[in-house]
Formats: sequence, C-alpha cells, structure tokens
Amino acid sequence: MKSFLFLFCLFLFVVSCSEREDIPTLEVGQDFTNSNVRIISIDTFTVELSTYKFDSIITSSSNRILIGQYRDSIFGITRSESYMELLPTNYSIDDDAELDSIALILNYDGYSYSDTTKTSSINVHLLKDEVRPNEDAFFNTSSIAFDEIPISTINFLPEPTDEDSLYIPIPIVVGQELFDKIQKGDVNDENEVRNELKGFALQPGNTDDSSIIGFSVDGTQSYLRFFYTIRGEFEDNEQTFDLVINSTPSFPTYFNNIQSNTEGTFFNALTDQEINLPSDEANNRSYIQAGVGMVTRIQFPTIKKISEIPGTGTILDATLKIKPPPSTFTDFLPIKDSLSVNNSDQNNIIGSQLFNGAGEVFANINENDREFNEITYEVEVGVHLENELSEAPEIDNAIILFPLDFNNTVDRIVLEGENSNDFAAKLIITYAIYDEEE
Amino acid sequence: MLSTMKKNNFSAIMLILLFTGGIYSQTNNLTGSPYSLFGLGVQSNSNIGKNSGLGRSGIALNDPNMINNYNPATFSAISEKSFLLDIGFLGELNTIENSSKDELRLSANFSNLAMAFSLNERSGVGLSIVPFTDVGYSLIGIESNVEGSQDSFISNVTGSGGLNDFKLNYGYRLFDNFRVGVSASYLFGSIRETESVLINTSFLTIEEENYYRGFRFGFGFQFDMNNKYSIGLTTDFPTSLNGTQDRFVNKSLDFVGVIVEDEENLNISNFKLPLEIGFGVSSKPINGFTFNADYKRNFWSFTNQRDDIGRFIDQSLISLGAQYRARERGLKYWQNIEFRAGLNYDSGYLKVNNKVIDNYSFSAGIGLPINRRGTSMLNISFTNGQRGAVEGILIEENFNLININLSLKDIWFRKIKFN
Repeated sequence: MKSFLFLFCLFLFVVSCSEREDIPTLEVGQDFTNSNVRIISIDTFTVELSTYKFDSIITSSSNRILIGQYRDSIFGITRSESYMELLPTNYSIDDDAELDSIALILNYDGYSYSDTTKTSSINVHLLKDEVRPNEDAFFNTSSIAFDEIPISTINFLPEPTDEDSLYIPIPIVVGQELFDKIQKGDVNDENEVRNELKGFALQPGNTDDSSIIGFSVDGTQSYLRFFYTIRGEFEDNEQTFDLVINSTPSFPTYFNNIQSNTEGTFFNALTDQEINLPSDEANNRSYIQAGVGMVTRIQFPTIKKISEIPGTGTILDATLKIKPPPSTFTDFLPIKDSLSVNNSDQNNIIGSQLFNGAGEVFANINENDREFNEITYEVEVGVHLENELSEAPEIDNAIILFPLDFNNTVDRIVLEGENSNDFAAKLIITYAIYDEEE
Repeated sequence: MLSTMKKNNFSAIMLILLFTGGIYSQTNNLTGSPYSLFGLGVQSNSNIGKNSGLGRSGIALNDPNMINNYNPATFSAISEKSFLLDIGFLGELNTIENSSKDELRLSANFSNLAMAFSLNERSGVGLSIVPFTDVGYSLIGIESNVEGSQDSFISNVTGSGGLNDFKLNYGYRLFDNFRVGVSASYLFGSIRETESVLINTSFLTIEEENYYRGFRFGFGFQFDMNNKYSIGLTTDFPTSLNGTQDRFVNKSLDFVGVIVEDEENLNISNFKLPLEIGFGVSSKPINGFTFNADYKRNFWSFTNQRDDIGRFIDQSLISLGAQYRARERGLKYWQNIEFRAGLNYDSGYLKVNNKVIDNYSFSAGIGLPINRRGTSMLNISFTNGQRGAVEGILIEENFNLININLSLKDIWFRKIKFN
C-alpha cells in the first residue's frame, strides 16, 4: 500500500507536468472544411442623399474676419461681411502727441476661396449700434445697422499667401476726436470708447465677383492704427496707438455675416431648416456649403431589413462611398480631404459627431483611389448603423457631412447622389452569417 | 490494524483527488487529428492496462491481474479480495499530410484512471474514467470568398475537448466457465470550437462550447470453451446524448469591440450513438502465449446522422493481439515481463466525398513488473497507424501513440501480520 501511495504522488506530479500548451498552428487539413461563417458583401441597401440648410450658424467665435463676394454657377452669389468692435488696450497717449494718420490694417490669415486674381473691394462703414448680441452669440445671419456712406473704400488684388496684410487708409476725422479725448484723459474705459466709436462693418462691393478672403482677428496682427508724432527738441518721435478686437470679451465683439443669394438655384426652396432637398430633385446631387450653413444629409431607410437575411449574422464593416463630381472643384474652389460626420435627427437638429474605436469618424478621400484619379469620399458608418439597428422604432435619423471649418469658411462641395449616372452613392456592407439557422 | 485503517482512508481520499484531477485533465487535448473536426471527435486512443499493446483487442480476454474495460464480464474474474488500479498516460505524435504538405502535431496528456475490485469470489466491479472521444484540431488560414465581391477572408478554426466515459462495470460468474457482465456509462464532456474570422481591419470570433451528456448501457459475457479457448460477446445499446451549446460571439467593428451574442444553453441536436456489437476469441494454444481476435460492428447508419461534410456509415473494427509471458509467476524478473503485439483495423464511420476515412494501426507493447509477484505492471505500448488517404481534399494522417499505463494490484482488506 505504501508503494501505491508513492506512485500516486509520483503520477500526480507527472500529470501536472504533462499539460499541453497551445494547439499547434498548422495548415494541413484546412481543405477539409469551409469556414463555418459566410461573409457576404451587400450594396443594395438604399442610401438617400439630400441637402438642407441650417437656419443659422454661430459665426462670432470663428477666429476669422471673412470678407468677400463671388458668384458660383451652382450655389449663386456667396457674400461675407464682417462686423467688429475695436478697443484700445490702454488709455495713455503723450500730451504732446499729434495724430498723423489712421489706417485699418488687416493681416491675411491664409484662407481664400474662389478667384484671387480678380479685384476685390472692401467698404468700411461705421456702425450705428454697438456690437452686442441679442443672445450669447452672433450668427451668420446677424447684422448691425451701419452708416450708409462708407468712410473708406479700397479696391485691391488679394495676396493671401504672398503679402502680410491689407492696409486700408481711414480718414483722420473718424478718429481725431477719440484720440484727443484719450489724450486728455476724457475717455478712460471701454464704454466711453463705444460712445465715440461703436465699431466697423466691412462690406465687399455689391457687384464683386472675385474671392472671399480670411483675415486674422489677433490684436497684434489686425488693428485700427493711429500714427502719431511727439515733437521733441532734437528729433521727432513717431509712435502708434492701436484699437483691436478684444481677445477676452465677456460677449462676442465680432462676427461674419455669411449669406448667399440663391436665386435661380435649387436652394431657393431651402427656406427652413426642416426642408430637405432630395438629390433626385437637385440634378441627382447633394450639396454642402460652409458659412451659409448647407449640409448633405444621408439616410439609410432600409437598413433594418438586414435582419431579414436568413440566419444569424452581424455587420463586420459598413462603408459609404460618395463621389464629388470632378467638374465641380478647381484650384480656386478646392476639394476638401476630410469632412466632418455628425448625427442629425428627423428635425435636422445636429447631434453629436460620429465616433468609432479609432476616434472621430470623417468622410475621407480614399488615397488609393486618388492615385487612379478617382476621387471618392469614404465614410465608415458601421458603428452608426449598429446604433440605428439597436433603436427600437423607425426614426428618421441621419448623418450629415460638412467641412471641418464649417463656421469660418465658405468651402463648398458637391456630391453625386444615389441615382447618379456617373457614380451612385452606395453603402457597402460586409455581413457575416455565423449560424445558418434562425 | 489501526494504521492499516488509516492508510485505507488515506488512499480513498487520494483516489477521489485523482478522479477529480482526471476529469479536469480530460479537457485537454489527447489528439491532434484534423479528423476530430467531425462528429464528437475521433475515438479516443486511451486505453486501460494492456489493451493498447494488444491492438485494442480483449472482448474474450480474461486476466485476473488487469482491468479490461472491453467486456464487463471480465470483472468477475478479478481474484478475490484484490484491488486493481490503473493510471494511464497517452502521447500522440501525428504526421499529417495532404498532396502538397506534411506537418507534425504532438499532443500528450494524462488519459485515464480506473479501479476495480472483487466483491466476492463470484463477482467484481470496476469504475473507470476514460476519454471516449478526443477533439484537437487547428485549421489555420482557411481562405474563403466574400460572396458578392472579389475579396476573400481568412478564418482560423480550432477545436478541443472531447467526451469522457465514466463507466461502472459489474461482472458475475454464473458458472465456472461462463461469466456475464453489465455496464453503465455516463458519457459527458464538451467540445469547444473557436472560429476567428479576419477581414480587413475587422474580426469576428465565434466560440461555441457544445456540451453532451447521456447514459449508455451494455452487457457482455465470456465463455471458456476449454482450457485453451474462450469466446466473448459484448453489446452496447444505442443512446442519444443530450446536447446544449454555449455560444459567445464577439467582433470588432470600426475598431470597437462588440459582444454580438452571449448565450447559454442553446438547443443543439442530440448526438446519437449506435448499437455496437462485438465478438471476440481468446486462446492460449502454447504455454506463455495468449492470442486475441475481436470483431466489432457499430451500426452508425441507423442513427441517420450527418455532419457538415460527411455522413455516418456502419463501422467495422477488427483487432488482433498476442502476448507472451514466460511464466505465470516467474521467480526471475524477466520471466514476468510481458511482450505484446497487436493489429487493428477500423473501417471508419465517416464518409467524406464518398470516401471512407478508415484507419489501421500496429502496436507493440511491453509490461514491466513492478512488484515481486509480477501482478503490478508498468505497461508501455507503441502504436503506429494511419488514418485517411491523400486523395482530393482528404488528408493522410500518420499517428504514433505511446500509451503508458501503471496497472497496480494489491490485496484488498488484507491484514498485515507481524511475526
């Protein structure tokens, strides 16, 4: 019996050492069987593209002064006006200073849209009212009353990348009184400045058809500059005094009014945010225009039918492919590599941005296709569809596409719709069936 | 006396521990055969005691020193007041070959545990846990087409597990030359299959664990025609193993991990085991030699079962075995050594593409006595065999088995006497 027990223990020991590790990873034998999983690629689910326009979008935190006007055969006349209040950062001017001249200096921030080889014009008007929002913000539709007659007009060829800034001379009478009062100490705070000078409206020429240009809002780059001289015994001392856009205001003090005249275009019908312009009523295309607030809305009305595929399965990939017609973009009206993708409800109220495991979802131009001169946007909508499928009732949720700088540019994009003859927008779903029985 | 009692208690505890360990260990792989993909896996190569060295024969074999699970009637032959214990270990080296490649697969594990003892001079019982079927396959890089597209996807399928046979045998000696026995098996276990699908940046993993359980009953008898010839017959009744499935499916979609399904106790079809009838002859024509010949037929076709690729057909098993031992109770060590050789043919129960997957094997074994009487032995056997054929999609598998069994015998309830 003793030997029994000894051997037991010995064997237990052996047993504990003999456990197998992993099953070897080998290839022979695989012909034997097919995968138990069927994977099918489906592109027959309906995709519906339409266009809608936001009633308004916020433009008072856009970090850009956007001025200009151009005409577009698809989108009509797009116009951006800029409104701003300018304030000093200090209130001390030498008693001996004499005002020489005033100029509005706007620093190009590099953004331009449409044809910069054509002459643009800017009319500088004085505001009648203070720059004060009714709510917390200004919108692309906001405006402030201004004197009809401009204090200054400039015609110029924009050099948004080659030049630093645009220099607009301002008549000295506009600022002389304010200068004197600050010098004397009669104007010591912002409210006293506003009584003297409420702000400026920068208007493109009414007949301009050139470009829309972006300028910096940074106080060290764009400012209303007072050039003055302090006469000395031996030499004169030339100095400047600047009024700038307040960088830390308690309410917004500048905004861009960006609107378009859509007469004669498809978009005349878009008088309300809840109105959708289906692509088949708009040349089988859908449209996007930043600034004025136009977005493309995409819906997958039949996606719930995926449950009618026999067997038990699940979505492994869902890619939306949409093509911008090459004839609709040029060097002056460039295509954007990425578009933002957000949820939108049935009333066209914008929802959260789409996310997946890799981060934010964008509509990106497929670089492989670009090599073959085939430019298409791809959107990974798998997570979105999964969420849609898990929602019990059928709701008209959608996703919307728009440029990344939606509030401070006028970028526009045209997309081929679901019935396009050239390249119909389509949803390609990779679906795995892992149990053939229901 | 007291110390003996204590020892018996202790060994009982050890036994329980070992059984528990045994059940646990059975879940590890005992085979690397891709053919184990089908049905409940391949029939286990684990064997108790000496059978593996004898080409898996033993229906008519009657040896008081061994546990012979091949016929319950033999349990009546266990010498009175004896206690038998058998612990088995199995190693398997498979060479797998298709028309273009061959590969080696190794698997090894603790394989079985059995004990038996006599109840009285006419009857004995045995309790054993032995793997019934083994599953262990791993198919890597299966390429399939994405329907409706030019793309393809890769999937990897692995399977493991198997069923265990927890068996109670009872043998009773009706007459001096006629023994009968009945057996009851509780077959249980689980087969886990995992398939991972990779397509572009997405993956899908399906883990299915199929649990089967059910009872099976059988009977057998042995008849000694004279001193030299015995015959035996066994019957195992058909049964249906109740199956349930736990399924866990997860995937990544756009780099988000998603649990698609996590279900337990899904209904799956029962697995039917066929009626099995075996007939065997054992003879001792010359001093020291024992010869066995068995024929067994498993009536799979009556179960009307199909697998994904193959269908089940009636199976015939032919086993031949021979053993030599110089003396029944030799005084010298070598006289108690047992030499064995065997031959086994299994026609297979699966038809794939109209081709039956049969297998045959040769075995050689040795039994090394580890006590002075030569009743306890370390049994080692080597088996070399072949399964399938290199033809079409089928593969040929060469398997090499090493079975090591520690077969112990002691006298049960023996009083230790001191001079």
